[in-house]
Amino acid sequence: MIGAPVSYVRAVYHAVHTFFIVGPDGVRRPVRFSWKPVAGVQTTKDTSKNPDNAYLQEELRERLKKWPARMMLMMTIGEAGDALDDPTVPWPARRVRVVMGTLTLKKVADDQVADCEKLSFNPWRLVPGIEPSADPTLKARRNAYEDSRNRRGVTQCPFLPE
Amino acid sequence: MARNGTKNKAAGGTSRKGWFGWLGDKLDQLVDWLATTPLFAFIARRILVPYWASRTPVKRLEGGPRPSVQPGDNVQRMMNLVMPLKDKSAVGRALAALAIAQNKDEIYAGLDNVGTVHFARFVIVDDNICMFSVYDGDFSNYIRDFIVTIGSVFDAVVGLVEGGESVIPSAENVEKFIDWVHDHDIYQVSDVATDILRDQEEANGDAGPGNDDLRLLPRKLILQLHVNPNVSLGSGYRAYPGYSAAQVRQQFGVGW
Amino acid sequence: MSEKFDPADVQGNILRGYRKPRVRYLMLEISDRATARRWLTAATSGTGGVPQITTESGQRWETKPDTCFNIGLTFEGLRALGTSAASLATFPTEFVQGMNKRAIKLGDAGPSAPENWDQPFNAPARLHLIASIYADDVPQLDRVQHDAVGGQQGLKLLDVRDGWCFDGDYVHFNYQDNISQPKFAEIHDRDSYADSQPMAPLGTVLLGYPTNFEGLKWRIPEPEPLGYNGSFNAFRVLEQDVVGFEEYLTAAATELLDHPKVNELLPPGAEANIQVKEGQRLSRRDALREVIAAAMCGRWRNGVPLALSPDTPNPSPDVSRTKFDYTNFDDDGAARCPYGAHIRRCNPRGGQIVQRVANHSRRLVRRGMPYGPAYVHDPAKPRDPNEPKRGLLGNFIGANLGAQFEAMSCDWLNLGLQDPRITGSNDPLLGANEPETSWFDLPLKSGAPIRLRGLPRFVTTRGGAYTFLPSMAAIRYLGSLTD
Repeated sequence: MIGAPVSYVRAVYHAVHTFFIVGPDGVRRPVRFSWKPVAGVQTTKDTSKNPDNAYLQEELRERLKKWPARMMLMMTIGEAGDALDDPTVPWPARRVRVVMGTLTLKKVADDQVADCEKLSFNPWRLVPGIEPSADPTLKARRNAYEDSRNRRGVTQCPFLPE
Repeated sequence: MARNGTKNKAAGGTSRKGWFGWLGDKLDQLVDWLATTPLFAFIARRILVPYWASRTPVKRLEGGPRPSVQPGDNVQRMMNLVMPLKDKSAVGRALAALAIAQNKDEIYAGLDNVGTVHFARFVIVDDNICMFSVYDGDFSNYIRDFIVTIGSVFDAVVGLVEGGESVIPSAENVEKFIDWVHDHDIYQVSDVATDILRDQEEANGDAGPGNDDLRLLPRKLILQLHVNPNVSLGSGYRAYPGYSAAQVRQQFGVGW
Repeated sequence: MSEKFDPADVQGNILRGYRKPRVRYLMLEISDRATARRWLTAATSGTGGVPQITTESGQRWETKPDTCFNIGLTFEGLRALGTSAASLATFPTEFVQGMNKRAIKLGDAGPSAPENWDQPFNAPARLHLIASIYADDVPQLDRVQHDAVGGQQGLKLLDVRDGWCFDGDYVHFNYQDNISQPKFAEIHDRDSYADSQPMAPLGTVLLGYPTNFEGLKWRIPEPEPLGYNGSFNAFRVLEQDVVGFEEYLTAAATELLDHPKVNELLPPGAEANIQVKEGQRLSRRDALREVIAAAMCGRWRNGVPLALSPDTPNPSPDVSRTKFDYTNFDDDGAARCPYGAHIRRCNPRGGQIVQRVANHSRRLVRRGMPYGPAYVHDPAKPRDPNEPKRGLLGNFIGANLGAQFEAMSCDWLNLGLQDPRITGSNDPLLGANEPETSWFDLPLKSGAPIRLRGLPRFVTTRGGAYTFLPSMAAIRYLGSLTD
């Protein structure tokens, strides 16, 4: 039995969909992203009972008062034959892995409604150079997110130049 | 005992001549042949070595790479942990396999963040769970950084190993845990055969040179292998020696 | 374990620097354990003429004591006092082995190897206790020394080492020191420089508190009164080749004068920005000497950090001495403080390092004072063969010698594992350098750096010891032992 994450910033986040990145050399490469916690992955040891509701939010607030939290953004470059359109199939650990950068979290946004609930993150809002794959699940998310955003009347993120 | 070695009769028979010389050669041949007979092979392995070992106890040499100040010796160092499982059955081995499989996320995230590991792998050999890795820098720092990032994985694995319960959870037993892991890191026999004499003198606190009676080398090696059954032979081959993992990543432009 | 921090239980030289101009270290052997135990007990209360051990108050001192007195015990010292085997077994391996045995990790090889150390450090089995006296003048030192070890205390005086501040906070090699230390929430800090580094948890230096590593606890030696609120110290006698250092700066600067990229390092006319003395204009070569000296340290010799002022030691407006962390990519200071500069190697702060998890984790408290007379560099004067010995009597204090002092020394100070651009090189000031193989890169804005070679070893270890800095409760505990 695997426990629950002890913290938002002690878990790995895998963006399961494949995207295509166009390099400065014009080459289009399939990639997948993941966020890795610098503090390492840690799960709760006691798996017999459920953790308290919303414990992660409080944990993050308390933790960031003491020290900032860092996450590394890693990009794995796929090869021909890797599952490009199937998010359920992991890629082998033998693919080229690029360190893209480090995200430092210093505080939790004060206004959770304005800075969180009122936002929509549609995975199709992409900057030039990043393209979606033919992954059918990724395709399905496009309209589902758009519909959700319209019904909730919230702002699209990331903020792209229109 | 090394000093006494020089008092023994000189090896070989180059100065012997005539009938005595002939007899001496025949005796040498007889002794050489005897060693290949099953009886003498048995006596050597089952009686002579244990007898030697009890008469002249040998200190178990420390595992892991030899301390050095030279940069080339401090990158791409080998760790070879051989840890006997408590449960010596297929079920026990399966539990070890499960402990690794369940913690894949932790392990990969840890390796990405510790940043000094070239390769790491888990292997089950007989009833031992083995962790083999190639890392840069100081051993204690390497293990400590891993306790911080993936201590729970260590705990899951070490908990299955004989004597492991006394050092987990690793985060609360950092010093003991590092010593324990170091104790399971196998001895690395030097690439230069005679270095085992040096290592043994050092272990005995014998700093003076000149005790290196080469004729005692086979005996010393056998006695060391008696107390140190698992060893690494040599320090391993490297295709690109002298570079850290981060230097390799930097050269390829994939970030570090 | 009590949750509340009691500063009065902690020796006073751990969380703050006394900032006294004189220090004296007494290297002692315990010759009679029963008498030595009585001496320890007396020192906790300052009775029977024995100097009182100075404790922490947590507050700013309204009036500084005239003198301060503290002690540290080696592993052999704990044993000599009759500490039980069970208790001794709970101390960390590096402390048990002692500094001499850990020499390779510390880069103490060749001329710095323990077999070449001075008495009594080359015979560590007899070095049991190091007492330190801090005072304003020598008569005060003499008086406290006499009170401490002048009679029958069961202690044999093996050696005495004096340090002094000959020029304020300036140390040999002519740098300003004593600038940056970990800051603790629990303590009033008289040097309230703003600092970009996170506040250090008490467990950075004291046993029994949360450490810089999330969730990690160091083992508290048992029994609790002995271990709790204690700390560990790496005491070092570091000899500095002051003449060799100045000579190297001259040689390197002379070579740089003809380097094709020298104008990028120091644009023509920029010598005017490098003022060592008010109103004095340096020659181009002398200005380059200062540029090299600054690069090697990471600070100009007056303490101004390159990270905030890469072009001049006299920035206008002035800059903070401590508020930087090598993460600000908007200005070029972070890039132009060499990755291999001494202060960056030993404490990379928040900057990018290979062992990401180790940012801030290897910090330690440094308390040092120079020994030997001040040196005035005179290029016209040839090297005096009878040049007096100079150096630093340093204390590197932390709750875990292995995780802090040794970790910093073996992977960062030497080897340079924290950044692939410096891996394979040693610290330019303190490193175990050999001229044949040493190198140090001076960064340039345009990219590829200028590589200096041929750095000799400027600092040679002459002695040292790992000591345990016991709490007041621990000293009372040791004093009460019987056998």
